[in-house]
Amino acid sequence: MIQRPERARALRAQAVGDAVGRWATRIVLAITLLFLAIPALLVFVLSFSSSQFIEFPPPAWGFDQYIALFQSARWLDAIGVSIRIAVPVALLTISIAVPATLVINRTTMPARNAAYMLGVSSLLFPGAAFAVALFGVFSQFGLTSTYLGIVLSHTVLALPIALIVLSTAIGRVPRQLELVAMSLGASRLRAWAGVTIRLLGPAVGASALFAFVTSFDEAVLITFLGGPGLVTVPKAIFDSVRFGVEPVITAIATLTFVVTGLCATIASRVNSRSK
Amino acid sequence: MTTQNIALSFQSVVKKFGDQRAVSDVSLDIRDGEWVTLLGPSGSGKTTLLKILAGFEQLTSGAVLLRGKDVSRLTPAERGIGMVFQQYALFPHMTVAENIAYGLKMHGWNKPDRVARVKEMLSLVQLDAFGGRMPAQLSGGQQQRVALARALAFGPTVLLMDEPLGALDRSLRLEMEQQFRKIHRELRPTVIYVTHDQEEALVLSDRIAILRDGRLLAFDTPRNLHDNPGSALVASFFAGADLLPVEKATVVDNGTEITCAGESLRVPEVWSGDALPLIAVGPSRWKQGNVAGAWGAEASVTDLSYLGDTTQLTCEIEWSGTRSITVRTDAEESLNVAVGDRIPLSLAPRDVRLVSDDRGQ
Repeated sequence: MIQRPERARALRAQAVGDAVGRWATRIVLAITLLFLAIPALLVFVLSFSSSQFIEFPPPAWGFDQYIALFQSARWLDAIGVSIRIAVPVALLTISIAVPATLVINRTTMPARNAAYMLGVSSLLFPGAAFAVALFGVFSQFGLTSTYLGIVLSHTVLALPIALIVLSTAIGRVPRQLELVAMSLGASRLRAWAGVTIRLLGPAVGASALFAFVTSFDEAVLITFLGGPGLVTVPKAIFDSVRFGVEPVITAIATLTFVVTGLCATIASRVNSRSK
Repeated sequence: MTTQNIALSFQSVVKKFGDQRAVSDVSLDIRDGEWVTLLGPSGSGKTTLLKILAGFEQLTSGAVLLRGKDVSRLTPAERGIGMVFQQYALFPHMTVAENIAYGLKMHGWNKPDRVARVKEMLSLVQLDAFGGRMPAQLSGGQQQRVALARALAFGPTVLLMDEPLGALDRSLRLEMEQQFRKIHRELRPTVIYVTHDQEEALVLSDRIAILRDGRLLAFDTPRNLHDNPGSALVASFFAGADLLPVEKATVVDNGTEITCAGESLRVPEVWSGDALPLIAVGPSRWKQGNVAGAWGAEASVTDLSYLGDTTQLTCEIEWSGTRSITVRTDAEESLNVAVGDRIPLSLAPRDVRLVSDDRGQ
């Protein structure tokens, strides 16, 4: 087959264009990764520095930061506070999200779609605006600077992801299973408990972990609504950076990174295995 | 028939979805131990009727009686009805034995009784060795047998089956039909079976209720429906009969004289309707060749399918205009017939059925 020269030229130009496009994409991707990953990586590397200051490259390596962290009552307190908040948040979130998901997806309750939208709406709130609004409301009820107030506000933040994960999961549980259970003599609640919720198990676990991570990681609301005795890990890091730079924050930041990363990975693994 | 052996009755059941009547005024009495099939195309209301019976849908008006007791307002659990779905709907997190035991547990059976009953049910569906397996480890046919065992285990008043063979391939379906018949002979449960497949209905049912657009067209034994369809819709849907118009029908001694396009034919059936009937002719009623005393027609063959023992021909005949008919003949007889041929067909008067024209309703 004879190709006319202009056609061959056009093809060659196209191939060159494709190659340029491919490389451009790769370069942008590499730069993005670099700027996102390198700071995190630096924090990780620096947490194993033995220096009194944050300096790079570290003069010597060691576990000094971790030792300092676990000897500091302030940081241990912060970890304790974070866990004491994140665990109830996780439990509260699933105890709201699971029944809500059943009612929204498996009943004909009026306004159930509106209920779902309301549940996930906190995704759309700008963090600071939401915090200011909550501050106003909480002052009315004496909830500012209280443990309960923080748990409630974190639950609102954690609810959307739980609702989304559970709603997706319940779509994979055939409704007929409930109908069969009811025809076999189970009440609707018993059919839900023994069949539907049982099959949602992995998604419930994943939701709880995601809620835990959301709370453990949350820095904005705690700044507005927290107070003395309510210093979580992110708040402590923030405070520490504000009043001078302690190298120990590299250790706590690395630990936070590992904990949340681990939780999120386990959660998405558990959730995808149920598919 | 006394009311005592009526297991179940639908009384003027109506179900509306908005303005749409999914079921309109259906009444049926079903006897104890009877296998009744609700047969109809999709959208005929058969599944809605089943859901009303199971308690998954509320009826708009009318009543459903189980052993003479109105159950229309009871929850599904209170009705004691076994249910088998097309997609098996086995609990995936439970073993086969746990699936079968679920209904027994809900009905308060104690452990030793449950174990004994599960064993009995497994052997009934010939899955004795499968109690410890998970549903995902079973084939479709095996899963459906477990679903059947689970639905029957607690001794339901009525067993409902919603197109249970729909997801299976043909050979497995035939095998399952035989199993269903055997189980029905052994346990004699009252069965309400939903399907759109009339062959399945013919094989399995004691009686068949034909539904269309939410209305009950006919309710009778398969033989009666096939031999005396009564209405045009039943004849065409159930027996695959072709419908031919008539111009005049006069009741004479021992029969009816019908006229069409100048020809007249005396059929032994006495037409009792007010309106003009239609002639319904099943595909195997036409005979090839000229037969004495039969009505003869010249037909041109437009399509031909070889079905093994028989051959199915699509032919055009002149019957107040050109009409397409389906003819099923012995494969030997149509050995030399090809598409485009003109062949003589004959129709004996006793093979003609007069049916009322209910197509427009």
